[in-house]
Amino acid sequence: MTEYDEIPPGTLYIHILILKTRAHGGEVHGFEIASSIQQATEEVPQVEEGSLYPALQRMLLKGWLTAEWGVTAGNRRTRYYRLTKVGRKQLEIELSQFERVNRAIMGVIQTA
Amino acid sequence: MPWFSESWRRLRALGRRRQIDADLEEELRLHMELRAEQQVKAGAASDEALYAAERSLGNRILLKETGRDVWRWVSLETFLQDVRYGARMLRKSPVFTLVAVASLALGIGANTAIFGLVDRILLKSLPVRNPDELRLVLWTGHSRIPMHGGSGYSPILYGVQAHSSFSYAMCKLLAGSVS
Repeated sequence: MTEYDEIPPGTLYIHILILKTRAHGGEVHGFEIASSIQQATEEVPQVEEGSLYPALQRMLLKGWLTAEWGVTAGNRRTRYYRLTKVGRKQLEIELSQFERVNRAIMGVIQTA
Repeated sequence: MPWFSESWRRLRALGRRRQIDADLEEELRLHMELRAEQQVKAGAASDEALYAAERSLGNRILLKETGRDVWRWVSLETFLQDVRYGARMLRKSPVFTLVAVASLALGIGANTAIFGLVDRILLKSLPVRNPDELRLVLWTGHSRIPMHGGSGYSPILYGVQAHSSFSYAMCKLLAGSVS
């Protein structure tokens, strides 16, 4: 088993939310999200790919996303996710939260 | 109200457990297949690629379970289970059910009847304008004094006859002093 460096907890939501704002037509499916997370992080901090899917379910429940079944370019049936207004607001909340934690950690590192 | 819409979504998911499961399964399988295809394009053997894709995805059964559990509403689900269990038990012993239902019906019926009476007599006010201004006037006097007896009801009050109605003249006088 390879040890995975994990994406810092909580930032998975940020990744997904940002992706949705950039997505073409506002719709992406799970594999696209996983692939671009991998690319964006240059495959160094890997997250177990599948953990994306429970996260998507949680975001559906919270109303940050809506899902609709559609067909991919390769003619495969899959679920497309779209950011809602609540989700857009949530992105700002998550980002400011992340920044706050980040600043605190940097503060601790610098004084040490 | 985010909690409200969240509860609503959870409630709607209650009956769609199987659908949620199937959707997750399909989604995960497609993810695996697409990842495998990607690796085949990069030059991997196809069975090798599928195996690698399965590994990088993670524990599929666990993922599905975690994804499904997101929608659970434990307190409501246990409550519904209890209701179902109760109904089954009642159906199993119909005589007990009948006795229980009958005694409940009788109890509720009797209580309603008594309350209805009390409500009519004590709680509801009389059907006139300004009912709080109504007064009961008792006129005491000798039984020999001729008064309008009305229904002939004349109780004894402090040893003297009490009359519940007045002569016409007295009525006029009273009406004049009130208005």
